[in-house]
Amino acid sequence: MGGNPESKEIIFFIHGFPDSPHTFSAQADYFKNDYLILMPYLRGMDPQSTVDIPKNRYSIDSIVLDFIEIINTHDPHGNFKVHIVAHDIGGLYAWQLASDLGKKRATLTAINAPSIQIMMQRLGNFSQIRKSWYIALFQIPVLSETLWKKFGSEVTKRAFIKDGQIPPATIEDVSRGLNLYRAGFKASVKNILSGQKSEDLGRVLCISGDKDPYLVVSKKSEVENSSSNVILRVLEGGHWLHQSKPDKINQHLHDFFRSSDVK
Amino acid sequence: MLSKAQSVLSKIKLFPAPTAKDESFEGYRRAQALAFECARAISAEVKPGWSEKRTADLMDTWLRDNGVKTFFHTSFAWFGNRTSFTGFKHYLNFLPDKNNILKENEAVILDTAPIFEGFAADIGYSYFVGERPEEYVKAKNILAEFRKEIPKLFQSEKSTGEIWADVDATIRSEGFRNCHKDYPLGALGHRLHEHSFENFPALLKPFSLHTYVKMLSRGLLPEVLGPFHQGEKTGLWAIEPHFGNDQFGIKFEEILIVEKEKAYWLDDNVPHNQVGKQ
Repeated sequence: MGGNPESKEIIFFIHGFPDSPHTFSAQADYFKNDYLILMPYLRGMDPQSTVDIPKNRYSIDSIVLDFIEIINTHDPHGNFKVHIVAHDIGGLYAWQLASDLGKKRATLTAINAPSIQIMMQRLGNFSQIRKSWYIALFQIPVLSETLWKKFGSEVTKRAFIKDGQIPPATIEDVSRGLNLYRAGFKASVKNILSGQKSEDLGRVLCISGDKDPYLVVSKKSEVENSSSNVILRVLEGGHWLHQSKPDKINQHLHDFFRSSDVK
Repeated sequence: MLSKAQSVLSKIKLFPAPTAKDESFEGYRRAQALAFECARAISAEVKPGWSEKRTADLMDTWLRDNGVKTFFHTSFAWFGNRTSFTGFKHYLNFLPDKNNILKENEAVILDTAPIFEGFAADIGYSYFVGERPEEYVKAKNILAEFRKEIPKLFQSEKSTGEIWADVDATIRSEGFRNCHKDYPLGALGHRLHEHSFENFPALLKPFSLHTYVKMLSRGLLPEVLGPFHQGEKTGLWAIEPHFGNDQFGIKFEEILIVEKEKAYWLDDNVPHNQVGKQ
């Protein structure tokens, strides 16, 4: 937590995998004078946490309930508006959180962060399937944990380097985060079976990197099912756009927040 | 005829009617308190735009995240005139509807029944989103009266069937429709039990395999307080008076302990017993 406690607006940052809230340091620093900044760890991803979370408690709903509780702790009277900003797998939670917050939600920004519904639409997209092979591997318990413990650190370093980033100085063991992918997969199956449609989430900003190794470039038509007011920005860059192009992303966020009804 | 059949069926049971033990009460109380805490937490988040299904799913998630491994029944959420089962034609209508979206000025009922640390609880929690109409306030007052009167009815010489009829008569005399008569076997209440195998998966939804085993092995009918209930009055009951009209329904549900000479609610610290809290 940080930023301006006097502000009536929260920016709620949701990081991806393998990552931490520090991924949004440049954004938190930029917005700290005007907003209350909340940037929690996803369940199981805080290396300092000693809480033993059962493997079946990583569902999207569980994590959304975590987030609602965090927001309520900082806004017990429900007076604040919330801008949600998510990256990578954080998108799964961000889109659902945006839906559940209702009028409390100001905006949603997804930086290479698709929702379950969007990922489901990409099931027939060979390029996306090719980029998402690792998700299938993560579904295999024990094996994926073993592999991650052995090679996770190296894989993370390479992923950052491949994206043109400097890898984090220390790479913690976040193998518990693999449970997020399993829960995400279950949610996808449930989503297909229930045929659940998302409600209109209002103002949504989708930022997509044209060279993202893990996600195909977003299309407006994918998002229009969830929002009647979507802005799509395709930027030159890879997966960690908010780190590789912090000034550009900050400017996009700034303009987007300012143009929302809250201010 | 139905009464006679039920009387015969009620004699078919593998286990005797349970007698609640004092030392177990704390376990039931904890389970019930957790269930009400869940209802309070989720009701604080439910907003116009949420579906019944979303609400019920989040209740189940909240309970599982707080240590619940299985359920007597998974959570139900009803909004608007579905709170009084208006237009319900079959069993599936009772399940939380993904297409029924909460709107402003609607009634809400949350009903959940976790098994926590081996003890089952079953609670009902009613409230209104927006400005409550006069009829709803009237119904709420009647519900408060039921909370006072039901233990007295159980303490009296009246049979369970007569208690059911008394509650039904009060509801009708106040101009409302009895909704609990639409529950399985017209249940104004049902028994709850300890569960030794809560780690065993529920397998069935909304009522778990645990529930079917416990209730069917005891002959089912002594377990359910319907209009033709046959069996012991004493024991531990989840009591759930539920009534309404075509616009809304209202209920509470909580555990009542019935002993030979007295009957009392397990815990007075429940939301519907706290003035001004809802």
